[in-house]
Amino acid sequence: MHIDKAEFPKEYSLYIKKKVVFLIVCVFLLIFIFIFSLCFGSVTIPVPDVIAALFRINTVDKWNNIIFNIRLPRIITALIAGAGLSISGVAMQSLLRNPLGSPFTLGISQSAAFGAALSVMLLGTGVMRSTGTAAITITNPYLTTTAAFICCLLTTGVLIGISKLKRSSPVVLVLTGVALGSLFQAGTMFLQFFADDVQLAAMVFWTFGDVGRTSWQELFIIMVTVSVSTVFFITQRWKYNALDAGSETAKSLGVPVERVRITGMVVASLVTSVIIAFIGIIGFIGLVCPHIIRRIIGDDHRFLIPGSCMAGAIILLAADTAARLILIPHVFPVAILTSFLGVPVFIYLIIKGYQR
Amino acid sequence: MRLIADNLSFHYQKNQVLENISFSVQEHEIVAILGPNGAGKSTLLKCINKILDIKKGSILIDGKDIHRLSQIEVAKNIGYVAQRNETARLTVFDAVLLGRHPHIKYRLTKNDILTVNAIIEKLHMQELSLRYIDHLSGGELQKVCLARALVQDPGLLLLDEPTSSLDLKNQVEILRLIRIIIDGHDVSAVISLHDINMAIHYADRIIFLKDKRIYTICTKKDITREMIRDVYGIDVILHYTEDYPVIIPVQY
Repeated sequence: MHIDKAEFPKEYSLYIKKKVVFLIVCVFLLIFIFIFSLCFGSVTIPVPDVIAALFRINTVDKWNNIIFNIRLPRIITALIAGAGLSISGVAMQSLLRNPLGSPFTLGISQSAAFGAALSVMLLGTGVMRSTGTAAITITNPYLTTTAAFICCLLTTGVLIGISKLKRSSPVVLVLTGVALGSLFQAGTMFLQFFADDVQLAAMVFWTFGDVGRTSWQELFIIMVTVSVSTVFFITQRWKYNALDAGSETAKSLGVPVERVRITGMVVASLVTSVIIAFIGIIGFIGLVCPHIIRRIIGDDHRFLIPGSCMAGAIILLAADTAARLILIPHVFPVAILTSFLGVPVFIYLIIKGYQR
Repeated sequence: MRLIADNLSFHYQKNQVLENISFSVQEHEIVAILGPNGAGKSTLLKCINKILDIKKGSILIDGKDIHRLSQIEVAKNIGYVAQRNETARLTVFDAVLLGRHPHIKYRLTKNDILTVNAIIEKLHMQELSLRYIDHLSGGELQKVCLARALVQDPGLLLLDEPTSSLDLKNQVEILRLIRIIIDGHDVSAVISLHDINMAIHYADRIIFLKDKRIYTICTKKDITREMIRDVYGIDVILHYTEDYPVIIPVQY
């Protein structure tokens, strides 16, 4: 078929440039919040000293310890976890053709909580401590994390197994997720009923997502998973755009729909499993951040994926910084704050977005 | 592009949908598929496009068996417009750009953008180009989907009831556009339709499907009252205007 091609559409180029500018603004916002949260906390460090420490010039020893051992791991965890949760939210929403796609809807968060509760109960990994910043510590964090992770993978496995049986219809996946979520919630309640005070406290404590728990080593694992999957999702951008047009149309455009759906779900679940396993449950980032970006720059995954990635990082870091500053010297678990902020924002978006 | 379907059959689990379907489509030809609801019109189109895998028989496009082609290869040769189209917060330009997916290797080329722009102009949609497709009317959305199939640069277009949700003006506009495109380029089309009179007006040949099989394949001049009664089970009157008939159901 021969098509006469005349001119290059200027308005379209302008429109694309606007989106690029938006992404650049996000980058600057990210840098600003990053520096801000390094400066403020129980101790305020002057901005020049923070920048000096980061670039390892004229460092002040007393600041170095605070910056590199306390604030930086926490801040980077917030950035990476926010980005990871948000990006897997985007992927799940597109793959399931459902605006509610997120680790919560699919029962992944609930299964992680169940896994952690199980390890506290059976392996005795929770211990009460009356001093220190955290009243309850998990004596063997790796064991708890592994148990949570295995439960996440199990849920993912069941989801994907069922979707293969039923030719991966998105509705089947969402319904299965909801059912699995209830099952694991019931399981956790069952364990809590038989738990003693200390175990109960440890179980509940674990479910408060907190970015302050990670060591550099754990952070490294999260970082690798999130960056590899971000690259993966970026390569899938056209396919996800095609899926938005309906699965038959996507197939007619040469997209192997079932395969894309299953691999995407595996990667998205894996990312959320790793994040939840190390930092606990943080609600609403995976749901709200993609929707904010959708409202601003639309559903085009070429921009939606990097946009949500940054929005997740910015919002989780901002929330965590606020959580650190609200009750100085106490640190508030960020998950409580994200839910408090997330729900009204989300309801606002729904009312604004779906009125016709 | 020439299409030959030879003796193809399709079934969902135990439910036979198509049986021994054989027909061909020549270059520059529009073939309409007619038949009652559930006769297998949509299924037939999806089989040609490899959205569904046929269980028996073969489909050849320009002599190549589509069974041996990858989904991407098929997408480079066949454009498809689904019966129902889902929307998103995507601009018309980006939605049409999606049709270039089979041709995109790593990143967009200038050629992709130019092709999309040319097709948008051809369909007179310049003003809509930066509107979100979830704010379009049914007729506009149908044109976007047609444009998307056209930028795939296909030799064969498959359209599944392209006029089913449109008003009279839009029905005529879409079918006229298709006719102009088929006449002016090396493309052929298979269209499933409900409106016999539209099919008579715009198609070169008509395939009547009934009970999983082809009842008959004919040109517009050969349509008879008996055919319509056998396929749809109602009595009609044929009025001849110019050379072809207009079909009117008998009132009772």
